[in-house]
Amino acid sequence: MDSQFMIIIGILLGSTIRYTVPILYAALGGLITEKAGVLNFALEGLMLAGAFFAYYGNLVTGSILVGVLCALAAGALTGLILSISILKYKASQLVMGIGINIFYLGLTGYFFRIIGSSGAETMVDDLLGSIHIPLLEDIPLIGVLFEQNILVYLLVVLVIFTARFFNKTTIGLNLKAVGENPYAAAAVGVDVIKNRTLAIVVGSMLAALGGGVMTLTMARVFLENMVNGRGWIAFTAIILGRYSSKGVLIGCLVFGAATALSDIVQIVGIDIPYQAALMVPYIITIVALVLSVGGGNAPAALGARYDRE
Amino acid sequence: MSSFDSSLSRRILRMRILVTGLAVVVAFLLGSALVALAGINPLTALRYLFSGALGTRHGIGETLTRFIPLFLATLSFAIAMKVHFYNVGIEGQIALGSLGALLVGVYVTGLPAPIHILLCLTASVVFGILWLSVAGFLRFRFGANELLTTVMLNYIAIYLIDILVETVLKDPNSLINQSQKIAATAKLPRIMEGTTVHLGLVFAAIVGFIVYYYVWRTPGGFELRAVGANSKAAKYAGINPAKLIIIGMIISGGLAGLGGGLNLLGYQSRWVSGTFLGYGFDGIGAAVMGQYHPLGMAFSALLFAIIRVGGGAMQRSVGVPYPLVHALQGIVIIAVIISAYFIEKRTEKMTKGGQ
Amino acid sequence: MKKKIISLLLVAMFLVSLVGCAGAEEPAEEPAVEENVEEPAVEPIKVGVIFTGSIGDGAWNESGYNALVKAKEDLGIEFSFQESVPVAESGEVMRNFAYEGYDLIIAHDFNYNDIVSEVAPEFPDVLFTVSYGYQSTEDNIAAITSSGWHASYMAGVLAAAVSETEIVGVLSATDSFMGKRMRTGFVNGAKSVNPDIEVLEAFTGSWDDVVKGKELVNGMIQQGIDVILSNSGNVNFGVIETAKEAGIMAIGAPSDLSSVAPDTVIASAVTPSGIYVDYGIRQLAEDNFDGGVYVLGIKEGAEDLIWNPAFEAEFSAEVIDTVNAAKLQLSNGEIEEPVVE
Repeated sequence: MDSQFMIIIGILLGSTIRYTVPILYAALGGLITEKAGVLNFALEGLMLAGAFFAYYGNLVTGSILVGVLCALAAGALTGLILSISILKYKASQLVMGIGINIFYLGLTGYFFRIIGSSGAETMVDDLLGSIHIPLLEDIPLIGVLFEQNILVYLLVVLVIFTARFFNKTTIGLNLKAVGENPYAAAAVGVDVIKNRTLAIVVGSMLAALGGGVMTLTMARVFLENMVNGRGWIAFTAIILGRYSSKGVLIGCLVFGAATALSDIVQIVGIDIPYQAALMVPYIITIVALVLSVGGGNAPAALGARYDRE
Repeated sequence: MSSFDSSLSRRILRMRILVTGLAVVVAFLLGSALVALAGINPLTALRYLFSGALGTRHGIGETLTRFIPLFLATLSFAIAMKVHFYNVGIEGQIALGSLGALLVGVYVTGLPAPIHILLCLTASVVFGILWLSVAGFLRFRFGANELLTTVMLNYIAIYLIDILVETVLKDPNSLINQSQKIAATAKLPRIMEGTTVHLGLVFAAIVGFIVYYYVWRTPGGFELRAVGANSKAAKYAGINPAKLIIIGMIISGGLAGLGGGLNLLGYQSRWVSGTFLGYGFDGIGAAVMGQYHPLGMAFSALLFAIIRVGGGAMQRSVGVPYPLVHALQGIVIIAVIISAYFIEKRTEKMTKGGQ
Repeated sequence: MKKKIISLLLVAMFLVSLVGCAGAEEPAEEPAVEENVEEPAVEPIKVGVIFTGSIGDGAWNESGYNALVKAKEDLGIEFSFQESVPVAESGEVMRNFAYEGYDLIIAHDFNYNDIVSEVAPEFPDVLFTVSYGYQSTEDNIAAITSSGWHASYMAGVLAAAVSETEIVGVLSATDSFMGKRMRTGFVNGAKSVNPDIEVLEAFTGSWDDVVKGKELVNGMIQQGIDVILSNSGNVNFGVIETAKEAGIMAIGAPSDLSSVAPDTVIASAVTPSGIYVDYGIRQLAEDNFDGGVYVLGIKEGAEDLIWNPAFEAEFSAEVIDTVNAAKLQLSNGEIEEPVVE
């Protein structure tokens, strides 16, 4: 019993990390965008785009680095399109997001079918390997935290950096200022459009990388709709985390753990319809959302259209 | 003065239609480029897209059948948007509406057809409202963002119905995980021979008109729009925004549920496990394209139905992979939303020029 | 601004007229093509196929698609297909094929069976087959099927014979009558070798969520399984990857997946759906099409366990014999059909 319990904790921990990482990348990307006052509804589509182009770059060149760059490029390009349409052409942020999501659901599926056959020929050769941190990886139970791949460690750095970024750096403070009150920021000489563009592009790159993590470190293939709602979960995690990077981290972990838990329910053979287990993360997310509401803490100008006077 | 106004508004309307039409053309051009990437002649593909959806009696019938739930989804989204309630959960409300119609259609028997149909549709409306009310309740009680709760509720709705259809609602006479068929008295009659077009089309048209009339021609609708345009000002005018948001929400959920109900009674007749038709998400795109006006949305829902049906024809005839349908819809949405900017600028200019 | 709009409009009109011209030109071209073909050959058989997902799924649909390509080469048929057709809307696709003059419509999933029963009477001159179908209600419907559990039974036998931990797993995407038969066959096969063996089951709920498939299998591995039967379409590739990382054995299904990970996949429980496609087309090509339910089996190649040659050489004779004995019993009909509730 005791050892069974330890095993389950072990599964939970490892699984939670792997479920959390892609979502956390996307959520951090969303956070940066939203701090600057723009809602990023396109996370789901961005993740799909990142997953596909990372996979495709890796497949064609056999280089994981090229895969990473392809995901980042796809994110940057989409970010630019989002910026121009939202900032210059005043497109609704919600609608642009939905448009991008539908577009990438179709485009990635379409490209995947165009590139032809499936099976072993369309699998990339390698996944990104793990870096084992000596000694730490031998700690029982939590050792699993220290045998992750570089993109996971990078993510930890990013979470820490993002927290400092918004409070200590000029660019970060400027981004926050245009998110809180763009007109006041503009009055003191902060370029609202430029800052928001920067936030959208960088945020979109991170979100795409979140999708890329899935095909570069977890799956050797791309599958249509493989992101399966994770972008929306990331979006929720931002609100759950009350717009702080630490909070977002916790929000993503809640979802990751919930999903890992629903897997355990299936594996240990608890006799319920499997769809009921699959519902668990979504229900927990709603519950968490309800419990976390109150403070809010959203940037004051979030989602509002900005018209330069 | 007034004749001058009406000629100006007619000119503005013409300009809106023109610019939106141009955006759609640009979107189709970009879609054609994608088709060309697959090594397929885009002109041939486009020809099959339109001839497949509009070229035959059967194709027209199929397009109109798809139009029904899409159009109701656009109405549902538009009404909610009018009161700034972001209902992204139409997909789930359609599913629940279908469930309501299914339950009454299968398990209530012995009623004359018209009454049975009305009862089924009532159930679908109620189920749609109830499902949206979950998000509404969470927003008003806890301040939970409805955009997110409705997205989560979509997933839950689909899983929930599949569980029901695979257990208590499963058709005992079939090996397939599906419900029983609705009773003959619950079926909406077909209205175009040799096609699947059903009476739901008439219902949809009537509902579209009622929505138009209510929102644009009654004091209640005026208040609704006032809240949407500026809730602070509306408050000064003595309008209770919370009440109106709830009204908008109820209408929105009911319309989505009705869309599901009509599609089930007129077309699906049963629920098969794993069904995900995507009318809710497409409906959001079509609503935007139609600029939240019932007439505009009727056109855009029709265009989206054409793309769906024609997409199948493109694959059957020249082998264009089916996901192009979504890519094309995405491009249409983006092109149209960007074109709205030009419409706004142009409108400003025309109005100023007139003064 | 006005100029801009007008110029854009001109461009649009130009394009529309292009489309129009292309539309007008096409019929003129077609006779020219026909002239090139000297002999007025017999009209080729036109086959239209409906798939539930992508033809590149590396599993069920892909096998069906490959059979089509082969039939085109061997029998000179013409075919086209539509992917990702939801059951609820499949009737319209069938009708489209029928109106477009197809001779044979293949509904490549048993979930289409009831819809085929509805549509077929409207088109008495068109033939229909349902892959893995279970009923034929008209003369123009052939439901072509197999036991659905023979291959997985053999997989169960093999899994139990090679398992050291006495725990094995099976991962599916979604549940269905077909899946239940498959899984029950697996469990029965395993128990026939080792009554104490434990079989863990899990579902991804999606044919696309490869990450979830990996995590579920990873969890099962932590629970002690050392053989996994993966029958979840494209998600298989993730499952096999996980098995490889953890150093456990995998059995692929429904296609031969040995080449995906030669050191991990010990065998594959194959149920090549292409056999169903091929069977219907051949019946028609030989002018021999009759409605009814046709059950194909091990003898016809509809179900089998295909070894990874490397492992076949490595396993003890006892293991090989146990599997072969089960196969013989199955094809002789000596094993009781699993009870699926």
